[in-house]
Amino acid sequence: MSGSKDGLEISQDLSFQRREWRAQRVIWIFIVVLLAAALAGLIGPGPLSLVSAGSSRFQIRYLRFGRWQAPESLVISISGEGPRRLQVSFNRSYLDSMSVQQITPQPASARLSGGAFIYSFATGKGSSTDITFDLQPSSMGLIHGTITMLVAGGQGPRLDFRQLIYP
Amino acid sequence: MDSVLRALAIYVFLLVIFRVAGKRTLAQITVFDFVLLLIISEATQQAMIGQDFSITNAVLVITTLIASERALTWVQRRFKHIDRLLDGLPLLLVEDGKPLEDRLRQERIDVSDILAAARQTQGLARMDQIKYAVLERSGGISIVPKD
Repeated sequence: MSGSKDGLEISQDLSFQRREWRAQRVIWIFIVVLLAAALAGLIGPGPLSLVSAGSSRFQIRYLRFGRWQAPESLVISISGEGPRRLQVSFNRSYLDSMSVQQITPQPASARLSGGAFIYSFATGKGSSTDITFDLQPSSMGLIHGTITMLVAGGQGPRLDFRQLIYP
Repeated sequence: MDSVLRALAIYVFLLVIFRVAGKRTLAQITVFDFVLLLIISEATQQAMIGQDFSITNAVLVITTLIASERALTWVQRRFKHIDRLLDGLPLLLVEDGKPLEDRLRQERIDVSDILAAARQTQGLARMDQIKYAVLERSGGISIVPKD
């Protein structure tokens, strides 16, 4: 039904209109799902996004779902009687896609060795240490990270993790 | 590249979300609608500009938005089915003083909205003085009075 309607010249199309209403309802369902996912943390920080991995001795906490150029943090927790000098290494490709804004506490040194960034921290006699990396994703998509704790020159426990960075 | 893609992404997103929200969503600007519009523009701006506050970026973003708008207008003129997909079609709401209830419900319009439009645009007092009321593509309600 298009064209004029006894005297009223209007390009009305009721079958199109009904399809439009149906499409709007479907998309609204999608929007509700999207908002629920966002609240749950599937599209960035939130309960389902924050995960921890590793053992109680060497643990990392990070966001499974991050957003491009949005600040996030990664916490490495080391407990137990550690060495006086603590070294953790990151795979190079991870830090290529994440720009490190700040590290707390500040590392005593940072160097590049092979395909890895190695941060050294001077630790006290304390029993546990939390090292916080304030990060900002500089690329989108899936990012693979590998964090290795170096003990006495050799490789200690190693954690692999993945993060999905939304645009 | 970044600036153009950002602006384009936002443009497309806003196009879709306002289309889905329905014609009436921000058609009659109440005070709250106006505030909402300001907040939306504020939220949009961050994503479009990012951390690049250069004039070049602003020029590129604005140019992209205007160019998108022009391109879309051209496409809509050229292809009628895309035109109605993007802007919808007008819809008859009242015929010979009788409101078409299911259409009003679907578009979330009250009889009082129609009466308000009738008063404002035609100075009509009652529903039975209305010959036709049409929900326009712009979201406004237009009234044709009975002779």
